Amino acid sequence: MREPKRVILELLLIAAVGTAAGLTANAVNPKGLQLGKDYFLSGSKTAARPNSSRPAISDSVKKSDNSLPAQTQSTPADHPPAADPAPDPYAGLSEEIRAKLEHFGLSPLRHEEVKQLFEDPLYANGLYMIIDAREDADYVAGHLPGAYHLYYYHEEQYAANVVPFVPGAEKVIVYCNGGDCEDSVLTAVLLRDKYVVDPAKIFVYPEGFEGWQKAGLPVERGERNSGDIIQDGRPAQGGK
Amino acid sequence: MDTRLNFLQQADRAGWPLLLARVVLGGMFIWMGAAKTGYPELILQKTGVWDQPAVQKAIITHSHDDGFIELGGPVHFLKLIREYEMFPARLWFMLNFTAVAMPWVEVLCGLLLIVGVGVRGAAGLLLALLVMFTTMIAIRGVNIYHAKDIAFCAIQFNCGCGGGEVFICNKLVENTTLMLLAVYCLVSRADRFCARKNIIRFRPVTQPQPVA
Repeated sequence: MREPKRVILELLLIAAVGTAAGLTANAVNPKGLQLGKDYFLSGSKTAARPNSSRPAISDSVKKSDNSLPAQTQSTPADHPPAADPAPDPYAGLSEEIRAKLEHFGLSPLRHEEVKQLFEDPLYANGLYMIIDAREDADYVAGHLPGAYHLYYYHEEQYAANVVPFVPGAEKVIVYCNGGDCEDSVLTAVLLRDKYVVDPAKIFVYPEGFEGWQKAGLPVERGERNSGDIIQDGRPAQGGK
Repeated sequence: MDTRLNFLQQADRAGWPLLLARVVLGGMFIWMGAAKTGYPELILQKTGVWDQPAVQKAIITHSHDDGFIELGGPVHFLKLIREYEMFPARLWFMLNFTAVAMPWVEVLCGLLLIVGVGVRGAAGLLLALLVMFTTMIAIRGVNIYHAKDIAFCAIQFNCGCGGGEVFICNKLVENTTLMLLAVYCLVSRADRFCARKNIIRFRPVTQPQPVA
């Protein structure tokens, strides 16, 4: 009877020491977790659904451009009849992302619209702001040219280089990897709730970096405005 | 039958089987636990080794999933274990706590097993963790099976175990093997090659002295 008691006591002792080691290591780890932070916004209140009748930036671009990545190509079923004045802004998105956007009351900005803003000369002037919500390694490996970096989970380390530029922007577009990735949604909520950014100018680019890359659009490597731009795996014109 | 038992007992008492089990089980958990602490990544980055082609080839990233080592800090682990829905949403702090503590408990158990200190306690703790996570992996696999309608063994996902995306059947076999090793470490009577097999030592029971 003594052996099971010994095993249980040792087990509890090891668990306690391991936990203490984990808490200590986390406290000194610059990439550690904040134990008291609700990272996934479990307690966040549901916001109103975005205005689905928001006009698209350019309907003509949607009709003429065929460079959409395969995963974002709309199916005939996605297109409402021509007479419908309010196209569904969530068309073609996964149920999971759609539910999250709706839950937090965020508006998606679809691939063609983001592409159009990116190509607009006003983007270079800071009127439109693109924010990459992915982690360091992913950002350095490649991001949308000129995109700011704000990694949600350690936002305190990034916010000072991003948030001051937000008030001057007319539209703030946040993206992450695409697919079911939710870091862009969480970052958008962070900007809205913590940094009190006008919700009307925050958008989530749900196709994300994967959608951008699949469309063969230019990608910047390294730091923001490094000039190291590649397109289709080759250095782009004007890039290093 | 008795002869066979004697042979097994003799083999066990020799200490080699236990040493092998401890090294395999402990090594696996040091590997899997350390990868989730975030420190190997930090050390590789600080020492400048991170950018070496061989290291980049070995490490699994978003853009390169051919590697065999998945390094990620507490945030990465937090995201992965969240998929299991271990706790109700309102208990989010428990998820944070698990993501911080679990990898270090695994590393500590692995180290203790290899050194041979508190072998039964460490093995018992790892067995409990293995049973819990294997059950959760199986449940998640069944859920995916019903949702996607594909062959069970074709299901592949990142289980948060430290090796990136794995096929579920391979993972279940691997975990079952590790559980058997943990059970063996628990029941083995050998104490050869162990620095201190029992951390806690009870005082021997003394017989009451007969009254003169």
